[in-house]
Amino acid sequence: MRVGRRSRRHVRLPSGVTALELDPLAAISARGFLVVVAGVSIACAIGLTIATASQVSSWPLAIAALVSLAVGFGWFIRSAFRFDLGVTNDRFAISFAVIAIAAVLNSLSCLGTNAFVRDDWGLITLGLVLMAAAPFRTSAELGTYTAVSTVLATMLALLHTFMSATADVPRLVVVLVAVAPPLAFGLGAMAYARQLLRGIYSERLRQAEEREQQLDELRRTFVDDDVVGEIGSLRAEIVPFLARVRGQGVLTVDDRVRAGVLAQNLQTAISESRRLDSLGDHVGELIDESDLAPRLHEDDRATLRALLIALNASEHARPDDITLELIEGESSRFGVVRCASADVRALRADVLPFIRMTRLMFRRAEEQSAGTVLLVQFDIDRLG
Amino acid sequence: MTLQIAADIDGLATSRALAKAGTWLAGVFLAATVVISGLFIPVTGHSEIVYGLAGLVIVGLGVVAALHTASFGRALLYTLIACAGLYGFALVSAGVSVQVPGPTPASDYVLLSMPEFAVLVVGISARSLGKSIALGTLAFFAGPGLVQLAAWQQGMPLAVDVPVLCSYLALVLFVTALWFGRRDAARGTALMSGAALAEERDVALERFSTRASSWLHDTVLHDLNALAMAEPGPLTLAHTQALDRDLANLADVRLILDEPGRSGSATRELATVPALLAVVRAAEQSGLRIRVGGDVAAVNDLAPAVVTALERALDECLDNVLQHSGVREAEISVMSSPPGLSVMVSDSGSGFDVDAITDQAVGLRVDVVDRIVEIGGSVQIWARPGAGTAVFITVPEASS
Repeated sequence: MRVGRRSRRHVRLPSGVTALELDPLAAISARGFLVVVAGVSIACAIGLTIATASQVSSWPLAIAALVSLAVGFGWFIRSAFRFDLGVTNDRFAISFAVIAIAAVLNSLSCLGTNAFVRDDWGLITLGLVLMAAAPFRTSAELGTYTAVSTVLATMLALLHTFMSATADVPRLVVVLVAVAPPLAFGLGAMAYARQLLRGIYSERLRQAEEREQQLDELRRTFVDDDVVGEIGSLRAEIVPFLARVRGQGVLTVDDRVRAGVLAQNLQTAISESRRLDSLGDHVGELIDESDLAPRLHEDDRATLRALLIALNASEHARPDDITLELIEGESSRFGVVRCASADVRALRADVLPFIRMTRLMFRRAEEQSAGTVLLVQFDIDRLG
Repeated sequence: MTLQIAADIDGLATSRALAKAGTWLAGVFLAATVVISGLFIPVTGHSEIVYGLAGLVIVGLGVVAALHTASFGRALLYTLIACAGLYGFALVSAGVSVQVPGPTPASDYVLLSMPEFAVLVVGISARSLGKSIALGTLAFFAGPGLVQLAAWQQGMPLAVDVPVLCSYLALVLFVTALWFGRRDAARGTALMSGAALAEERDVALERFSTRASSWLHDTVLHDLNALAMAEPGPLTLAHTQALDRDLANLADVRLILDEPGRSGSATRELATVPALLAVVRAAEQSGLRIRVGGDVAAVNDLAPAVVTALERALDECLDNVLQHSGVREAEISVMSSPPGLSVMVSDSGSGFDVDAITDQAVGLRVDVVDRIVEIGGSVQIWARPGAGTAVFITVPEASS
């Protein structure tokens, strides 16, 4: 299928898709960014709490706010590093809710004594968590969270204008100062998520066209290299023989015998034509009694190949210690990748994105560490 | 590549996304400053605040230009222009603040802090970590630095703006984390891309080889065997025609490699349509083999709610094929026929009596028809026992 010009000019982004779903490996940078945002948010919260200690009216609430913030980011980070679906909307909603509670507790902890709303770290962390969520969630979802943050910031600011010593400042100014950080970060996160998805999706369209071109080039190479003519003695013996028989228009007894010999040679050559089995190149041992490797679906085989290459590339694995076993039973097919390592945790960390990719491509895939061995087991539901 | 992994290897998409994010971030802070400053015009009676607002406009233009330019030199220039605008705003704002009766705010006044935040983001979209930090640092010293100068010139009490200082440090940390993460991701992506391309090449060559071997088996080998068993003497017409065909095809093997309907897997053909890709992948994992054809890309033009309904309907149709048809192959055809888009799911299985009250008929009616009708579409089901099933779904296009 070729992408029409109309589609390229008016790229309509697929709905409900996050940038990470199109580019799962970007989770590496998204997770790193999240950890730093979490660290900065917590440091900022602790720093501001200490710096504005004179404004704190309830220390239990202030401490509960800090704990809540840490829990919210902790849950977020845990979701981002999970092997299965990662940061789903439900999981992010929990993180956001807990961090929103932290913002409310922070605000309430200085109720009546809040001199400057701008010192409330809760409003900043609400914005920061949206920024960190940008690669993980869709622009529309972030829009909802931004709206919630804005409403929450407005309500807290109004509460303080009634309860605290900010009466000499116009109420609208206090609200604007309170709303600006979550609104700015929220809209920034929405724009980031949408633009990143657009960029990656455009790249996907470009790659689709390139793949078609590569297929054409491979086909041309196949023809130019005369691979067909190289099968058996086709070009050297069979073609001249057929041409001669056709030219003379008569079949002799010797021609019959010669045709029989050539047919036998060709039959052997066709049978010996190499079948696809390059997965074995990446492992120390390939156990495949049912000859499943050449029959795997091409996407599944590419995923396995990438995982095996990643294992080979890790300094914590030895290529000879990598085993791929493909098993076909009466009612099921599955495979196991085993890799021995002196530091299985480090090995797992090295190849985690590729294990996640395996999880994306196979309906069921699990990984576990058994002693000094990392195991990745997956079901094979489809064949090519 | 085979796996349909789209990746931002060179960081261009990320850079553009950061530029957009920075634009909004700076825009909100500047807009809030404009509104608050505007409110002070009638309150204080100082109409010169309007000149300060003009300075904020320059800040905005400078920041947006710095974020979006590809040239580092121009980004430096635009940053300095933005900082000059900020200096102008600070001069006016600080001047008015010291003249207004009551306690005079210090130079970490929130009205000055917010445009300083806006200026700090200029470096986030730069294409290297060094340039990014250099731009951010320039903005930090030239932006808040000039604000302090303006405050001092106007006699405003000076104070270190701790939130702005912390924001600068945090931005440096964020940008650094993003760059290191992106570097690792690019390394992983290159690995995955290499694996997928190698797979693609192997699969293509395997197909060509298989196709060629199959053709040789069915033609040349067959004809050689026929000659070996033929009686000596003049060639028959059938032999002559067979030899002519073999020699012609061997002279141009491209004809052998053309295999209609086998240009790639359904998954690969659907590279550009995530909605259908998910449906097809799920069905393939359940054991179905799906052929997809027609104007598949048109599905991307549908409204989100329509896409969701269509996905679920197709899921149900394919599940019906799997459960009831007795075959393991189905076909999805997409036809754009404005103002609607039609999608047909068909199989050559056992079929069923549409009017009968069977699980299959009821399932299609409830899970497909109702779902599609809800979004303004229509469904027609053609089925006969022993003659396969075709479900013709029409959904409204986005503009209709």
